[in-house]
Formats: sequence, C-alpha cells, structure tokens
Amino acid sequence: MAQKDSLALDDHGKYIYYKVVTAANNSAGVLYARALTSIKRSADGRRLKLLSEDAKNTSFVCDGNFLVSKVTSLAKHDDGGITCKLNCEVKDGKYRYWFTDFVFTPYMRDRYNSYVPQIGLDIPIEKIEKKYDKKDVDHFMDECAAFAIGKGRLLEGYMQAEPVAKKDTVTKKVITINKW
Amino acid sequence: MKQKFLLICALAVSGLAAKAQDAKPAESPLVISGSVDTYFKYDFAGKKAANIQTSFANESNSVSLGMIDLGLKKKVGKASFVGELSFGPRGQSQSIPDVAGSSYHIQNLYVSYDLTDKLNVTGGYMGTFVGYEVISPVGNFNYSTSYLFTNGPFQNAGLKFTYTFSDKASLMAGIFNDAWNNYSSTNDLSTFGAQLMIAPVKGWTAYLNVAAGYYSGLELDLTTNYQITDAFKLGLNVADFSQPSYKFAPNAGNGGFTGAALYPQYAVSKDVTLGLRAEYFSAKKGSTTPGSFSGVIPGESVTAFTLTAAVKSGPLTFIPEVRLDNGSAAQFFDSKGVATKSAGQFSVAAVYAF
Repeated sequence: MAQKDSLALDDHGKYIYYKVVTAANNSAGVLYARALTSIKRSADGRRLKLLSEDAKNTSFVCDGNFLVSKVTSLAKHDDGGITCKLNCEVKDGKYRYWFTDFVFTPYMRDRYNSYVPQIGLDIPIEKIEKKYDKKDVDHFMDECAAFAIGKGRLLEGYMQAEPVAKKDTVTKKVITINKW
Repeated sequence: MKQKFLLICALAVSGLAAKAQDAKPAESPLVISGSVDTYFKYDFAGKKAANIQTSFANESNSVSLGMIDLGLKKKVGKASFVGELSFGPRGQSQSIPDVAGSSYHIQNLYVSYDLTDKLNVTGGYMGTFVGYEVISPVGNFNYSTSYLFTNGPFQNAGLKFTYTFSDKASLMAGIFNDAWNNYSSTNDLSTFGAQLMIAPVKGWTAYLNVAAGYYSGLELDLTTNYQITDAFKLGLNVADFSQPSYKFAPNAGNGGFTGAALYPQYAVSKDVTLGLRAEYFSAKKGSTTPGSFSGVIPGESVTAFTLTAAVKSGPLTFIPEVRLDNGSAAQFFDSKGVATKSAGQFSVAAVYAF
C-alpha cells in the first residue's frame, strides 16, 4: 500500500489523516500537557509550530511544513514546500488528532542558485493533479502521508510516555601513579 | 494538589522521553542543480550579425549554444556555500567582459552565515541584486533579454548583510567591488549596494535596489512581481542609471539610461504559459562608454515587444519567441544593409533544467 493511501477525504473533500487513540488512565490534563510537550520539544520542532490553543486546554492547532522534491528531476533539490494543519483534541482517557489543509507552494531557482518559494502560488493538494505530472503528484501525496504518519507516531510516543529509568552514572576511573 | 502533582509528573516524564527521542537534526544534503540550453534564431532582415544587440541569443540563422550551468549548494548548521559554473557562450564571451577566452565562467561563488535567525552575512561573487532578468535561462521567462538587463550589472562581488524583519520585509546592505561583473576590483571595494524587499499583500513582492559607486555609476531600480491569480502574473522593472564622469576623461562618461519593462504572463494550461515583455528604453543625452547602450545612442530610445510561449514537458521547456524592436533612430539594418529604425527576430530555444 502506498503511503498516500493512508490519507482519506473528509466531508469537505479535503485530504485528511485522522486518528483516535485510547489512553486509558490518563486525564485530559496530562494528555494535553504531553501533547504540547511533543510539539515544543520534538527534534524537528521547526516543522510543527503551535498556532492556537483553546481556553479550556483541551485542543490546539499547529502549522506544519516540509519540503519536497520531484521524482522526475535528475538532481535532487527542493521543488516545493507543503504546509498543513495539525489539530489535536484530548479527553479523559483518549485523544484524537488529524492533519489536513495540505497546500503546495512550488519553488523556483533564484539568481543566487537557491530554490525559493514562488510567491503567491499556493495550490491545495486536492487540486495539484491539474498542475503536475502524475508521478510527482503521487510522490507529493506520499510525502504528505509520510509527514502525518511520522509526526503522528511522535505524538503518540509522547502520549504513552512512561517514566524512563535513570541510567546508572558511569564513574570515571582515577589512576594514581604515585603508588605502584 | 493531586492534579498539579500529576501534571508535573507528566511533564517530567514527557521531558525525559523527549530527550530520548530527540535526535540531531539532519544536515541538508549537497544540492546539485543546473541547466542546459540551445537555440535557433532567425533575423527577419536575414542579418547574420546581431541586429538586436541585447544579451544572448545573438547568432542568427544558426543552431547555437547557450550554456551548461552546474551549481552546488550545501548548508551545515548556520553556514552554507554556493558554487555555480557555466560553460558556453551565454556564460562566457557573450556575458562577461573580463573572462572572454576563458573556458568557463563563475556565476555564483559565495559563502554565507546566519549570524542570528534574522541576520545573514554573505561574501563572494554573486548574481546581481539589481534588475528583473538574470543570466540563467531558467530564471527568465523570455529567452532573449531586455535592454535594461543587458546594460545593468550581471554580477557583483562583495560582502552583504541581510536582515529579515518578517516574511513581508527585509533589508540588504553591502559593499561591493568598484567594477561590476569582475571577479576582483579594479581599484577598491567602493560600490554601495542596498535592497529593500517588501511584500505588501499576498502574492506581491517588490524590491527597491540601489547600486552606487564612483567607478561604475549609480543605478536605481524597482523590480516587482504580482501573482494576481493562479494563472496571471504581472512583473515590472523600472530603472535609471547615471554613468560617472571619469577624472581622466570628463567627457567620456556622463550619460546613462532610463527604462521600464512590463511582463504580463498568463498560464493557459499546466504546460503552456504565454508572456509579453513590453519595454521602453532611453539613453540619456551625454556621452557614454561604450558609445551606445546595445545600439541605442545618447538622446535616442527604443521600444521592444517580445511575445514568448513557454511550453513545458517535464524538465524541458521549449521557448518559441517573436521580438519586434523599434528605435527612435535608425539603429538597425535591413536586408540591404541600410540603416533602419526597426528590427525583428524569431527564435526557438530548448532549456533543460535539472
């Protein structure tokens, strides 16, 4: 199964990656704190940025972004950027999250030999097949799904967080050369 | 109290787990990119020599070469470099005076460092910050080039600082070699360059540029693009150049030029875009070095219309183009070799970008 098959269409006709996860014995407060931590402390946190939180601390929205390359290019460079939204909601004992609003911005080569966004060209992923070859469209969709699956796993990892046993301290061996 | 304790425990646990999951961010790969271009051009007067004297696509009645362009880029942490070399007439003898006869030409060679999230310093030899068009055929819509491009700087060597206020505004200021388009300075590092970028509304960017120096002169430039709809884009370039008076020859360089070019482009399908370049270019009174700006002598002007189609097939773009130039003076030649005010050409180019 291609990764893009993990994306479904929602009732507005938008691609969505949606999961509901049971987290028994965890309060909504704990889950919310863990979810926020996952956003703030993940290694590539620059790819997910907190956009808004609700007043009751039960849901938040993040902006996501990642770069993609065409598969039809001879050399690999950034051919576009994709932005999306991550929505997360928690309740006592369960939470749900979904990625949606995937938008593709094509990149172009500038005068300094860098690849930069083409300002003003934002293509919803649902309409991208009108603009690009099928191979590239399939690849971009795969990348959207891979991003959502990867970030989803990371989020779920934080949500399941168990106390991590403190590692034994390694004592440095000291050698005294006065006595031999 | 119990809830607070649970929350603190949760955060501590999450933190420890996060530490375990955190990995060193991957460094960006070495990026390789470039292009290859070739063209055929027919001059309507049948002239072999370039009747329209703007840059590139100069050879008539011939399948001719543009260039092969090879670029490398790498960023590790805050530091990056770009090296870009070209081989072929477009990058060599037709492009830069100081490397005529060389076997290659450097398009970009610079190193860059992010001093902070918002401030970047870059030093080396770089594509100029002035103007709408560039040397690389991948960076232009039209295959032939404008009078404004041909007579402005192509590249500048120097040191520049760029401060990004937000995604709507940034400011670059730098000091560059006195002579444009040279790997090293003629006398000193004395051209001041600055660029203010603003993006007032979504899809619209504008660059206000200045390059000023006692050796190369003063160019003020506005370059702007507005993606009005998904299919329609409008570009504009307006520039004014004043050539300096040389101490050793006060009458040799007090001219300059003024001009404007409009670039409407419309995507008729995902693979075909049509575009027009409408340019007015006027050489100021006074004398210039050399004696004209691409054939436009002091006090005269030219109006040029270029209709271009960009037909894409994957990485390959076919660019058929018709161009008609009309001068206020007889700056062109007809089929009998008589001076005339107008000239026209047809060209078709193939550009493969990778």
